[in-house]
Amino acid sequence: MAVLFFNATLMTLGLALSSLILGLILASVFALLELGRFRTLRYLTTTLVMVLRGLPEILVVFFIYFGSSHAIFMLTDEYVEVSPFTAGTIALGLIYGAYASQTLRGALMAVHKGQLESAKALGINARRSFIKIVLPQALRHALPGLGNQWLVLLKDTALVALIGTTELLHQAQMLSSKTFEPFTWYSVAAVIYLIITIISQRLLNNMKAKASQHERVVTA
Amino acid sequence: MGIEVQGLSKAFGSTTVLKDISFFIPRGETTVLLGASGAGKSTLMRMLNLLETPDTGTMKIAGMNFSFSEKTDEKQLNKQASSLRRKVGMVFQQYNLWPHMTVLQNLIEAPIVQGTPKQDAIIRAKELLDRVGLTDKTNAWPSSLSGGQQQRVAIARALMLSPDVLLFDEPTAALDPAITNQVVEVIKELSQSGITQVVVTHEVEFARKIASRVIYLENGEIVEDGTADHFKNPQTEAFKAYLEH
Ligand SMILES: Nc1ncnc2c1ncn2[C@@H]1O[C@H](COP(=O)(O)OP(=O)(O)O)[C@@H](O)[C@H]1O
Ligand SMILES: [Mg+2]
Repeated sequence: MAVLFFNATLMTLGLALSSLILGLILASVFALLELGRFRTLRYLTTTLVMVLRGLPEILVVFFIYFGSSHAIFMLTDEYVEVSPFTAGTIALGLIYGAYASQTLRGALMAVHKGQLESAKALGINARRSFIKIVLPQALRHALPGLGNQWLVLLKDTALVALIGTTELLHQAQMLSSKTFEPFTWYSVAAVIYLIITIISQRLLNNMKAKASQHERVVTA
Repeated sequence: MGIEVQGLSKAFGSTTVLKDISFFIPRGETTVLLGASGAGKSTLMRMLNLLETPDTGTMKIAGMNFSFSEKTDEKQLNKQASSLRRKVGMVFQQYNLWPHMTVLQNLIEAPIVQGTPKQDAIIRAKELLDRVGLTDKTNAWPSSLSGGQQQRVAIARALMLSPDVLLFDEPTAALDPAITNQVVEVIKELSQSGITQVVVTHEVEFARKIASRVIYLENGEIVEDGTADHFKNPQTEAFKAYLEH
């Protein structure tokens, strides 16, 4: 039993972390395109983000899982099976990316424009000042939002059970129907989700403390 | 080699903010751009380091020549602008220190980008912090400093690149009036080092204390331009009225 749950926990964490990485990359791309100067790309990105946020998560998971093999077949005439893990990662990554892009975009806009101007006045080029001056400040603004969305993502991994990955929820389901002790197994799953949440929150609080170390602690 | 501008003008959309501005500032002078709010002082000063691009006119500053017209090539100008900005430092009204970097990191960022070895930049930063009386704040965060201290960090940061010209936008506006005299001292000390300074202000008393030259602006036009003697003997009714208001 323990081994089964251990593997299921790894699957849940694997799904969540790989979706997080993909999602953060997508979020940065979406946010930069939406703030960028290319009008068509801006418009397309806004639409994509709207669609992803407008559809039920489970529908996105189904679309990617059942739709991707179909799409590959239409494009290449070859039948490629997309694993539930891959499909789940792409779907959850897209969903995370859509929500997180809005957090990032807001955080980038919240950085005072004088910050960039003083860099410019010192002859520092745009790329360097974005990386060294805007981004660190934006990430600090974005951290609470991104962390919150991570907790949502963690629980959304349960949706991927429906396309057949053996993550925590699916494992609990299978054991329940085999042993007729649903309360026990669902409780085990619940406790594991909560433990991961608590650990995540600790880590996030540490990151937040580190990111705001420069804020006034003593008043002169 | 001072600052010479000829026929500069600038409009934002349909409002003309500066009209046919010409002046010459000899090297080493401390010139005050004086005038009421909205007169165009900040815009004019921001042209001197190309944070604003003039629509027309010519400008000679820090040994570089610029000429502006509709045909001005943006890319070419941007390249020249970075070299110009290394010779023309600026202290912003709100200082615009980078809050996530320590005082030392704020100072060494620009020189390091320009290829100064980090150790040399640190040595220079410490010298300058000593000069503005902030040695003990080297590793402090900007938010832990008072307004006056932040301003001196901003001045030290601008001096890191050894500019020929230093620009100040309303250096007293964000400060407690009680410490205005400290700003006066800093600016006077700098003028002794031979650097050319241009200071935007709307405060007559402050202007009198620091200026070796004055340019008085109204509605985007120069009304009076001359040495500090003009404070005693204003040549125009408008400037006289402003001094007395
Ligand atoms: N970026 C801008 N866009 C539009 N109008 C501007 C901009 N910057 C300044 N102005 C206008 O130009 C005029 C002069 O502004 P400014 O140079 O800041 O004056 P001052 O510094 O003398 O108070 C004001 O009417 C102001 O509203
Ligand atoms: Mg102004």
